Amino acid sequence: MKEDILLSVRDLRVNFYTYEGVVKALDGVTFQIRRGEAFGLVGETGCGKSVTASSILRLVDKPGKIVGGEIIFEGENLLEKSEEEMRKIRGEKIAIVFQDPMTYLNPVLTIGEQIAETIMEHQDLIKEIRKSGKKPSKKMLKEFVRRKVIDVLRMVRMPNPEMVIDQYPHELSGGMRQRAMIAMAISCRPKLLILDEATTFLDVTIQRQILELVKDLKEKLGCALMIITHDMGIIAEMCDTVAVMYAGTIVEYAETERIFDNPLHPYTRGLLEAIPLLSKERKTLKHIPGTIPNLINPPSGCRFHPRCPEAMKICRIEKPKLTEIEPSHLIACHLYNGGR
Amino acid sequence: MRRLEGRFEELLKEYHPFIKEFRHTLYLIRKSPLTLLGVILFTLFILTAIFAPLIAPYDPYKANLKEAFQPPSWRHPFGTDEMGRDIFSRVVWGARISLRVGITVVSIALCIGTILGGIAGYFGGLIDEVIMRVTDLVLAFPSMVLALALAAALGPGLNNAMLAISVTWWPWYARLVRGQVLSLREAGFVEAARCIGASSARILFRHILPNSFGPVIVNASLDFGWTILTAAALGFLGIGAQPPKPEWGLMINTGRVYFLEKPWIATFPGLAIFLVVLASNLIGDGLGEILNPRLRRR
Repeated sequence: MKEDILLSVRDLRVNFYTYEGVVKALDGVTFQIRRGEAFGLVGETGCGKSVTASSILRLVDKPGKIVGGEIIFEGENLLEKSEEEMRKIRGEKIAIVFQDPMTYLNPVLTIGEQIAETIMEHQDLIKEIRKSGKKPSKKMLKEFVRRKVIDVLRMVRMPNPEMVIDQYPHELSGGMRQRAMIAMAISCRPKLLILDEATTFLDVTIQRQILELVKDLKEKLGCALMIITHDMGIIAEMCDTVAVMYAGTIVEYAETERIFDNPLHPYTRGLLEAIPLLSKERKTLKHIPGTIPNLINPPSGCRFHPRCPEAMKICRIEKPKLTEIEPSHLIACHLYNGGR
Repeated sequence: MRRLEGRFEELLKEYHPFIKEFRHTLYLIRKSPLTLLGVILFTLFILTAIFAPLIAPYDPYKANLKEAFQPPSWRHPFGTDEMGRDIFSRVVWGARISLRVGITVVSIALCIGTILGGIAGYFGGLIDEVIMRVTDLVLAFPSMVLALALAAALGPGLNNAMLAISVTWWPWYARLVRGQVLSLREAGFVEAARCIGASSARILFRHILPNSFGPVIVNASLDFGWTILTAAALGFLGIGAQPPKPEWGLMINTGRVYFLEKPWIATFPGLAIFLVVLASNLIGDGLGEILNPRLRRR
């Protein structure tokens, strides 16, 4: 069971040192992803989902800094690796697909050039050509890479890959751009594919296609997925396990079915109740009162207590720990930790 | 022969995307008449410079005092100067000098400016501070005065003048590129490149700088004319090219004395400068639109 774990994040803390003060963006984030599993990370805007993703790649930008915890990937702590070693992991072992494919594709390079870059960065193609018994030359290398790029584009079901390879990002539609981004991400067959709100900018039909594609790719490549979203629908559709994030902490972590059937944390319950259902007649949409707290000066104790309908005295004083209350159902709430 | 044909077809196929792009560029140029005019003038200028020995009817250096101060005629289309040298031939040969000045100065300034500006913008912090303060230092002087002082200190001569102009010119590029890099550094595709494990050098030179080239190229083509003008000004003031070189600014200087009675001596070199600067400006403006990949396929 232990060897099954691909990525294990333990007590990850990230601070942003800004002019107004220290923003504790991640305050002890803990979760695990098994090999080949689809893991979902849900939460409101600004709760630290994307920061978690960039921490895993160790790309937290300056005022931000990883100040504690560990990120174990394939048995090695990524936080102890040198920058050079990290570069080998980025793109090859862990790849990421971002939200807005237009800004994340370089406008002056063709789709083919951009995908080729990833491949050339991480694969020793000259060796591969030698292995096939041919003498490597510049022209051969070029053709070889081109073939590989077309293969990758086929894998993401890009229509007309031979043409798209020579096109620039602005010549493609939104869905095609996102396919190109995914192609870039999977071109080295990563072990972990992170989708950071990858379908948020797409319209619903394209979203559907992209999600189907990702599902297929996961089967084909056997990679684990980490899906970051605020859409419970995507979680239900795609994920095996879910972690619910609130203001820089994980509040609930369990298998998807459990979360949907039996949500325990008041925040998770609130999230699920906020989904409008067609089957039920309801005059106004339900919501969780209040907004996400200011992380420079977060609420004491449990960060959710000012908005929590079931807040108790202890919630204001002590921060609840993430504990396993049922097998593989972890929760950080005093309601279940013997607080009552 | 057949093999050769096959090779040629292969080559054509391989370069098909480039040919397509080139055709598209031609189409865009044709659509804007002013750019077209600039391109025609500029092409004429370059052809004149390249084929100067074939075009010029006389030796630009050979004095012939018997024919001094001839007004424009069929024998001497632009007239002759005080030494009896054919002005048309001298203007034609002068194109070579101006072309050399433009290319050298702009490329030196562009290389230094792009690299320094790129590094300053990308790495930021102390490096940025140091590079940009040096740039400010150079920019604090009026460029003409600084070029004058440098050229005078280095001693008169065309090469020294070019060097002096380059030194005063690179800070503009450094500033321009730094500004571009600063905004591009935050672009999504840079983050994406970091996420696939690209190195700093690769990100800077392959992702950021090519994206910032649009305004740089436009600026370079505008500057091409300006540097020629500055070199001519130095020549005019006597610290650029030295006589008997057929440099346009120098020719205006000699013609200045006789300007009221014999206006052709200064007018034709002046006209040449005017046309080259105009062409370079027209092209610069047109390129701004043509080179922008986002505006290309509209």
